Amino acid sequence: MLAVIGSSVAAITGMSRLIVDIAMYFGLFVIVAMALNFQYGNAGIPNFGCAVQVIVGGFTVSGITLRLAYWLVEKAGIQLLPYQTAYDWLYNSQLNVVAVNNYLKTHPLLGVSLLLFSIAVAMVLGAVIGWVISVPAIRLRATYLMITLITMADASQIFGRNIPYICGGTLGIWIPNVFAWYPGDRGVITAVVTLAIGLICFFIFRTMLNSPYGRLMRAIRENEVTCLSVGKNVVGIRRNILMFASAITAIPGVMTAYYYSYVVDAMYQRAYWTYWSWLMLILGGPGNNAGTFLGCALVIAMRRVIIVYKWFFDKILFFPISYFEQILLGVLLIVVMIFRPDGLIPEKLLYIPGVNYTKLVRERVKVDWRTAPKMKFAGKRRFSLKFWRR
Amino acid sequence: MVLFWVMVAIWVFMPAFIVYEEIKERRALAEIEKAEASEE
Amino acid sequence: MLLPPLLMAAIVYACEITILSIGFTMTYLTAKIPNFAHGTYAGYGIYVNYTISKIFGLNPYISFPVAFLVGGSIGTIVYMLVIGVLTKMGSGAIVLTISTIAIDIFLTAILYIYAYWLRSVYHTYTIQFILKERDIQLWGVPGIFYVSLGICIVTVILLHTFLTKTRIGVSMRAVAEDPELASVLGIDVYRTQLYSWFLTGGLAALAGAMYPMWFQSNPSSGAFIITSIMAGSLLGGMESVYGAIVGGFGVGLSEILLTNRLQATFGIWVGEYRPLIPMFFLIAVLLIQPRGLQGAYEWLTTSRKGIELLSKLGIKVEG
Repeated sequence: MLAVIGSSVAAITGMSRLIVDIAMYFGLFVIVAMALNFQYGNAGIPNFGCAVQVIVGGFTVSGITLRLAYWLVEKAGIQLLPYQTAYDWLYNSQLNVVAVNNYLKTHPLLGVSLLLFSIAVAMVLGAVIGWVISVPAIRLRATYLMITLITMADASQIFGRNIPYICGGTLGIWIPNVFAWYPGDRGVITAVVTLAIGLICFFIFRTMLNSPYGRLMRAIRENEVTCLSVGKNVVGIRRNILMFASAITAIPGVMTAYYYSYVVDAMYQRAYWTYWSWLMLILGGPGNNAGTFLGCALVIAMRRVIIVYKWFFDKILFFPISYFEQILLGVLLIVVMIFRPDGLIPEKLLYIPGVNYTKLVRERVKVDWRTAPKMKFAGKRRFSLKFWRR
Repeated sequence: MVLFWVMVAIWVFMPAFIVYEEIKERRALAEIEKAEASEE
Repeated sequence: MLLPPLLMAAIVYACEITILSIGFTMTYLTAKIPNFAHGTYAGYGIYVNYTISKIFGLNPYISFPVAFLVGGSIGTIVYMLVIGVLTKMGSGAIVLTISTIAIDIFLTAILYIYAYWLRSVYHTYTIQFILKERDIQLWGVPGIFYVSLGICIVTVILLHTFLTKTRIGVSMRAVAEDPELASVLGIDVYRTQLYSWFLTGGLAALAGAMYPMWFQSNPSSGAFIITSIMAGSLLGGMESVYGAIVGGFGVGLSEILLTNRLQATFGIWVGEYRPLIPMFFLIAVLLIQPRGLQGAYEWLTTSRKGIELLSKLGIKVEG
């Protein structure tokens, strides 16, 4: 099955294939990382449920758009194999999708509207998920919220794996090619659309962050009580931010499904979508979009190159290279958090002194235990009014 | 192949635009700080 | 007296979850963060047991103290190199929690690499295994049943003595209550934290060493049971070690017994949804009473409605 996927994607070969692949992944992850930056970097909400929202996007394509496509094609008079029961839904998936693709080849409008429909539905469902998350998020402590969200990602994966009506259970389900009308390579056009969506998202986020609302968000991050005292609805703003960012985060799930033409629950692991996106955010520096882009580009380039040269590493190592990748993820996260607490590109023009690591390990206790476990960067990162008055 | 280059263009444009904005912002910030320092 | 094997499995599992929940709660109390790497310490216990009993061919019970030491040293190293440094730098709870997730990923990957190394050297199954056949039989019951129950009870009693009678234990409780005040009273907070991380790591690896004696294990099964651990700890209220004992035992028991009960009612397919049971506990506790059993107990004994409810049930509250 993997060979089939590989051959369908690898129409462009060699170096340009790698470039398309990196561009596609950059487009996918930059949307997630920007949404995370919007939530954590600017509003201070630690959303560890990115995988939940992405999985919702994927399930929208496999569970809703696919059925709609079957129904529309059958209305147009093309005979499809039965797909009502779980068995038929799975085992006729491939042949049905081939028939749908043949029809979509001559109907570009239908393909584009299917894509737009799935993105719209995914955004609505993502916003619903964001609202569901925000209900406990308002009442709970940040650490409790993290626990809940991480388990929620696992739970949604379990549902996807065991209910064949959603995404074909463990076997996965095939997705029609909405770009069938395009004669060239499918990967390129998917990458272009993803990057274009990323660009639109970037401009939306940029406008929002430069507006009074964005300033209010940063004010809430810096000091919640002050914002409450000047009559701002902190709870409502947090809910709006979560809903909006969740809606945006659902889009990469849709685009992943169309890029692979295939949906299975294992594509949406929480280690993949949550942890790597967080590494990008923390590596680049939370709070500014430049840092997010830099972190995303570095991490994606590294990962794709490692995967492309997997055959080389597998010859010299006795273990799969993916574990080395995980070690890299863990070590990078910790190193960045210790040596560059504000990321590669810090949020404002602040001088970050070098950290003497050996001294920190050996040093006896010199900690202000009043603030240590509670507040982030107490006294160090401040909300500078000077910057925003201009 | 045209689309391939369109993709590369978008891909390059996004970071370039951000870097441009970032530099502009920082320059403005530095100017404000300089002006304030001279006022005092 | 012979218990059905299912109940024995549930009790063994519940004992492991109890010990792990106690450690998780202690970390939460002293460092104020949920330690996501706590389950992975158990994974190290699993592999210490595997190495000693399968590779060296010794009695698996010899591995238990070794696992305690290995887990304790891992916990200490983690605190010294990462958590302690980040705390000294004044990082917030969110950054510290992310760092525990990073440690979790790192330690799991190291464990996988170790398993692959063992496979390439000794040419045995190291990724999926079960050590049930290496266990001793006592009156027709596997020894791990007695041992796990014994270790669980002894741990609880020793921990109670340690926390109430010894100087280190009392200072540990003081640090958990208020680190600032404790340091004023002359308690070395850093050293106390180190002791507490050693103890929690050791207990976690000890529980992990019991795991492969009854259940199928792989390098990530330690990371897999973190949901049950968190559910047990949260059910106990997250802020009391005694609550964690009750909560961990309850979650562990119900995870196996409830799955079996539901399988008998609805069919075999329910087994796939077993990980949802601790999640259900987690979400139910968070929605109904975020402070868990501890909060529920306080509500019952102090609030007017709770006392009325108790008096209806025929229980009288003193004071």
